[in-house]
Amino acid sequence: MKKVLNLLVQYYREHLLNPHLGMKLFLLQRITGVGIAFYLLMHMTVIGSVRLGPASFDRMMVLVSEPAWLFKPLEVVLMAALLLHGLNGLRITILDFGSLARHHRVSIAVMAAAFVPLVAIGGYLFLSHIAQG
Amino acid sequence: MAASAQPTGLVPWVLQRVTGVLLALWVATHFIFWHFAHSDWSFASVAARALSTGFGGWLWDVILAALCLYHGLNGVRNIVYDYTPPQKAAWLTPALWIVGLVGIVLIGYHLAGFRVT
Repeated sequence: MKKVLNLLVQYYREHLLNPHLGMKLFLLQRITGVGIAFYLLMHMTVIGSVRLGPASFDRMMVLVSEPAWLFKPLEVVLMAALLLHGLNGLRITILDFGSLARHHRVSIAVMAAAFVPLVAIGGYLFLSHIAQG
Repeated sequence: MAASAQPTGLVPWVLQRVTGVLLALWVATHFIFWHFAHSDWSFASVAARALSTGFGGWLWDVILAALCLYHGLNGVRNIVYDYTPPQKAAWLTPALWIVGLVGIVLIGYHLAGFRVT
């Protein structure tokens, strides 16, 4: 645990030394990556409960969807993390294989232009489900 | 093929990108299929929807899980390598492979739980 905290402090210090926008995105890529990995562990536990019978699956699904005012925003956070990690990853891949290395700011701007509307649309679709009940 | 006597890490590097791009598409499809196009989370409804996709649907999900496991465990490997040189962490790669292979078997088995009648 102390090692993880030291790691995070080290990340923060490195970020201060190198406040380039790409550095922030690198940190976000790593943080969202680890976060998604943890989510997947929980996701596999919840879905895997089906082997204990349909009733336990139903109970599990109720457990992770109520209260709605807590879990719907959490699902929006999950969706935003997935979109950030995915879009940033695509940007990095294009950077690695192409000649975009001179156009960092443009590539980040393009990514942000894709990210913001997608999160907005997805978030709206999610949260409007609550209104529908 | 770029082969050399020393391991250069080329194959994991390329596979991380390849699985990443595939995942970007596949996870989006999975998310939309189960979250936006479907909103009833009871076993009956989920099982009916799973069965409607047939054996190919199960395979689709298993391949998605395999891609996730590879990309995620390789990511963990890279993070560890940022702080410990590979020579000192020689046990890591076999351990991650074991986790991945055991994981995909367990996932395949559990996903089939929606398709038993």
